Amino acid sequence: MNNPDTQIVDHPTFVYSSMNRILHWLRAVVITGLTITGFYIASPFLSPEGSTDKLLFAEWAMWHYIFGFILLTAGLLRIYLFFFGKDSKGELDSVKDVLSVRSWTTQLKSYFFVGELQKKGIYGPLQFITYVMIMLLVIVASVTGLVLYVHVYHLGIGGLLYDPMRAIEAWMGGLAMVRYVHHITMWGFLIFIPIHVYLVIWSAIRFKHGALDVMFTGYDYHLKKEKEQDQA
Amino acid sequence: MANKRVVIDPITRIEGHLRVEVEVDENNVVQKAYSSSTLWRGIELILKGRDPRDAGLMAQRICGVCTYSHYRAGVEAVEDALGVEPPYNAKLVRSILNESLYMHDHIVHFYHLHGLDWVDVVSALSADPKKASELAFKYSDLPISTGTAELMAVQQRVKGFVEKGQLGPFANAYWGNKTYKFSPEQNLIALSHYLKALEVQRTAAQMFAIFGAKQPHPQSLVVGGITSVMDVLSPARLSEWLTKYKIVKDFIDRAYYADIVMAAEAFGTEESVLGGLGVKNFLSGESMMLNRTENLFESGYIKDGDLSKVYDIDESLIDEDVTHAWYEGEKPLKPYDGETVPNYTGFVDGDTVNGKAKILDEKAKYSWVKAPRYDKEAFEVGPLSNLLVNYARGNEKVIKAVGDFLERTGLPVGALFTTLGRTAARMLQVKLISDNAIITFNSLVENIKTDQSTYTKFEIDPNKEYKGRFIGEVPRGTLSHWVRIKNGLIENYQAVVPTTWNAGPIDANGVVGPYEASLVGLKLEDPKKPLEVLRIIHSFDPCMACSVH
Amino acid sequence: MNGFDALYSKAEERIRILSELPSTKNKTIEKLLEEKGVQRRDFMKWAASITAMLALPSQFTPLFADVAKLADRLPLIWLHMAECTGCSESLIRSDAPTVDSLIFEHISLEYHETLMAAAGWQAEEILDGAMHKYKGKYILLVEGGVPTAMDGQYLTLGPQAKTGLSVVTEAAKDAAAIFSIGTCSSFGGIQAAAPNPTGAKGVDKVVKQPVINVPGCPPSAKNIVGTLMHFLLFGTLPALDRYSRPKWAYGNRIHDLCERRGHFDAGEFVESFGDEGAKAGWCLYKQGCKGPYTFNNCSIERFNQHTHWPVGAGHGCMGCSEPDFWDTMGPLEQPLDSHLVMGLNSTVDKVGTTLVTATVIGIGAHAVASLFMNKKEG
Ligand code: HEM
Ligand code: HEM
Ligand code: NFV
Ligand code: SF4
Ligand code: SF4
Ligand code: F3S
Ligand SMILES: [Mg+2]
Repeated sequence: MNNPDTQIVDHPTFVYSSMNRILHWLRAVVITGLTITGFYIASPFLSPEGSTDKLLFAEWAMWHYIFGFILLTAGLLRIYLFFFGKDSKGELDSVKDVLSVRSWTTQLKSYFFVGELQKKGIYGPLQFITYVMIMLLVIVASVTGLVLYVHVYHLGIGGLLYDPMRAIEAWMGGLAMVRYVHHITMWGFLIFIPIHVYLVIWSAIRFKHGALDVMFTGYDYHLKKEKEQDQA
Repeated sequence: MANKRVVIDPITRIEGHLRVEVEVDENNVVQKAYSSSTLWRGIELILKGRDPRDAGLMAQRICGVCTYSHYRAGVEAVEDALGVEPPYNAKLVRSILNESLYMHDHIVHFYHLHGLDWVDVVSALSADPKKASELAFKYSDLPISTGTAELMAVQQRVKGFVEKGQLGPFANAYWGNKTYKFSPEQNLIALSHYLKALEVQRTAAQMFAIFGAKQPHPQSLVVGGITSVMDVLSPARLSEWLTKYKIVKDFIDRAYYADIVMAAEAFGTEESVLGGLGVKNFLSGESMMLNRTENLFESGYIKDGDLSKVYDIDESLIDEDVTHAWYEGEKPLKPYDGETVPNYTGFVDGDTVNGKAKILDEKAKYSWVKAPRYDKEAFEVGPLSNLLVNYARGNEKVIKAVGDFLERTGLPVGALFTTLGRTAARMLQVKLISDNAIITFNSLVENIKTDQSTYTKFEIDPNKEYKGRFIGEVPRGTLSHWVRIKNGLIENYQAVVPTTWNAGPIDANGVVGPYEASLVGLKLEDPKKPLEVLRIIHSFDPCMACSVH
Repeated sequence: MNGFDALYSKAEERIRILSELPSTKNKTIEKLLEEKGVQRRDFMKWAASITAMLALPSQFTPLFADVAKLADRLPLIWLHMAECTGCSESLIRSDAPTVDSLIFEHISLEYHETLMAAAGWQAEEILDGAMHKYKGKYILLVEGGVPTAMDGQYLTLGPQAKTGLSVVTEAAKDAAAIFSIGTCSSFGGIQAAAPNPTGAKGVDKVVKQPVINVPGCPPSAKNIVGTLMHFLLFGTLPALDRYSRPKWAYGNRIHDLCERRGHFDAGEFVESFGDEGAKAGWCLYKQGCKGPYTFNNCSIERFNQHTHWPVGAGHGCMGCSEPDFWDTMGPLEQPLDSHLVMGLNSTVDKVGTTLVTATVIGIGAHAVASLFMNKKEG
């Protein structure tokens, strides 16, 4: 059994490498872009009225694909870093939290203002699940996006991925299903991102350690201060 | 001596899966008959819970032969429920599509499905093409595809099959049966028209596709109107329709009409086609809008073959009985509240003239077809009913067309109430339609000069309950679709279909439907080769996919 | 040997084998063509058009002419299962006037319930006879889904009331090739739409043999005839996609070659049927066109001798050549953003909006509660 007091103290101070931070904000930007352009693709609300010279839909779609590929690349890097990055231990440790019933109850309780947050890795289980959900959504969006994409562009990466993506398409029950799932993932983002942002800020305020700035600087200053105060 | 049973399954040259069984006495005269469809698909159940706007396209898949009928019925039933009134242009285009459909469907039915009951292909081989070519002028002033050279070519092609004994689709039929009455020359003329009609039906389908997108299974109707607005507004498309229309109309006037006159002459004394009418009640829906005020055919019904009285249809008197159909249900239900809950009880083992077989258990349930009734009585529907009702109504166009035909053939009015009459009525109906379709077309051309609307917007209020129906005439008779809408979705859907009216089983009161009644008293030359049964059943133009759905 | 030569010699070999088969007729197609007054030139033209349709190099044209002449050596059995006969109707619309309708008249069409003269026991005899006589040589074409619930008894055929399921599995055993004509036989079709009361399935789900799917509701005559011709020519399955559809016909999306595609890219959409955009031929995406998710060649081949097709006629594609399209693409005249959720009258977007709203409210409540707690604690 772990001692809660020592666990808080165990929090790493350096949490995110610059790579992770850059990736995070890059993804935050492109996911926002993808949602907006995706919404337009789903139900085009703008029309150039009277001109076929201006390929309005095609342009929106193009930005969607550009953002999509950035997201894809960032996602791949992020997965790599999760397992092999030099600072990945903290995150990997979070898996233990997810597997621990006790960790779950304490965190859930903490969200309902009962007790303190305690965890092995850098995230609590709920937080971790939220991130995992977001991560899964990124994967689902990327894969379904690619299946849709190979029918849009047939050379280069589109051509290369054509056959494997069509296998996924058949497995999923046809393109209409793929598109449906892709569309639903967008709603997934719209639901999880506010929770994510809120939890980050709320935890920071309530438990008085790093949040917003963590993602900018990589260091969890609040945590350090708190530790000093505790010891003092 | 006990009756012998004859089983005919599959009945071919129809749409779908039909079994007919008859019991014949020692003289091979039919004492009892049973009709059954042996496929159920459950489309009424599949429609439940769907978006009402999908009803048309889904119901359309009930049948690919009268392909447009259920599409339109589904769309218009929903329009009726929602209170949506499509623009005049849309109504006219729908009418033009219906006219085009009939011009296709009746030709294919007569030549490619029914034709071989009348035409002995083998006999055509011994015809003298030259004589046949001359003979053709007896039935038409300007015959089609009956030049000597053409007839020779037809004969030669068919010879190839016959000599080899390898007849493809013509194999193992009833050639040489004594009830084939055409002379070799007449058979040759008809055979040539069989081949020509294959070509003409393609043209008729094109004519339909101009405003319908494709045929079979058009895709240009929506709740609120039609979608082929570009075609309607294109002079090129309009004249394309006109050109194809003329080709098809020509064939109807110069070949189809002529061949029926020829059949009336040759078969005028053939017993087996002079009966074939058991249920003498006839029902018909309204159809073929010509302009804002006029339809080519009006609705109504007559009873006991009495042409002196015609009644208006009270749709609340329609219901369906399932006592002898493979469904659950105690008492007849009105279509709005109709149910389709399968309860299959299967066949029993029995002896037939061909040996042991599975036979219908007529005491219990024996068909997937329900038994529709109007005021507890069975009614025949179809082109014959359509003409009789309109004749009785005093519809001038119909009276003239029927009169001309009777005069031309020398037949009495009574001859209409027969298998021959039913087959002739189909031709006369499409003749009337092809003569008048141009009026609908001109109404459209006139109207688009000032009004180009083809669609009415509408909303479905999810908090409201709706119900609506379509009742109208389609190639095989009176079709109705009944829909209830709740929470913005289809709550119940029932189709009461022409072939259901005609092919349905006995009901709880022992009332017999048209197919079964029409066969009683028929004498078979050879119960193992029951051509006479086929001829009567085919004269109804069965469509089992329609009847069961 | 390069790919082209390999393909070519395969076709030649195929023709040699075919020509060694005994003819089922005593006249070749070529003779019949002559009698019908069809010139060799017309015939070659037709062969060229089929060649082009199958996206084969033009050198194959003479081979097609050869194989068409030999076509009468292949007996065809066409079975009707749970269907509407729309596919048979499509077949008899087969175009390229006179020539290919001739091919069809003279191909050895042994069994086809809609067209054959014989009925009842005589029809049954023909079917049994053909399956024995041409064992291993006939082509089986199936129209309609196969009901499998209740041991297949939702469909029975013939005097012995055999189930459709047993008839099709029997016929499949000795077939040289099996084609599922239409979406019903390919994927189950309308009767397989939820709740699929009869357990209807595509043929490939009930037989062990390989099946070529030629979906569409109905498929165009071109796709039916072209697929057959390909088999006649090569004696092997054509290149197929993941759903066993011939790539030459189902390789592109409707959307890829759609005449309204320019308007799609431009963002010009029909907003309501019959509006100015509809009159101008704008894109039907917002009216629920499923062309972007549907593989078929309607946009180039069209129907009824190129007369028209759904999108041309101002109605979106409804995806009729895709598996389960009745369930995955409905409502057919609405874009996906208003897809019904599990048959409930709600759409993904409505559900999404509700959930997001709930989330935001939840967050707000939590935040307010937090402030309150903080005060209490502080
Ligand atoms: C956060 C991630 C993403 C979101 C929220 C998103 C959202 C959307 C939405 C809402 C649509 C419209 C679907 C519909 O028609 O209902 C769409 C379409 C599409 N997306 Fe994404 N997407 C994402 C990622 C991607 C990725 C990574 C790719 C891969 C390159 C991609 C490629 C596509 C393509 C090809 C389409 C179809 C465009 C068309 O129909 O022309 N998306 N996306
Ligand atoms: C208020 C600002 C935000 C802060 C302080 C913040 C902080 C964090 C933190 C601490 C993590 C976990 C670290 C990691 O896994 O890399 C994370 C993950 C993530 N955030 Fe944010 N976030 C913010 C806003 C956003 C926004 C607006 C988006 C998207 C639109 C977003 C998307 C993500 C994604 C996709 C992850 C990925 C989970 C992963 O990488 O495993 N974040 N964020
Ligand atoms: N019976 C029937 Fe139909 C027709 N006409 C339609 O409702 O054939 Ni398929
Ligand atoms: S695929 Fe369509 S057209 Fe063919 S039988 Fe099935 S429902 Fe009819
Ligand atoms: S009409 Fe349909 S297939 Fe054509 S471009 Fe628009 S969405 Fe694509
Ligand atoms: S609905 Fe079918 S007919 Fe073609 S355009 Fe779409 S695949
Ligand atoms: Mg019904």
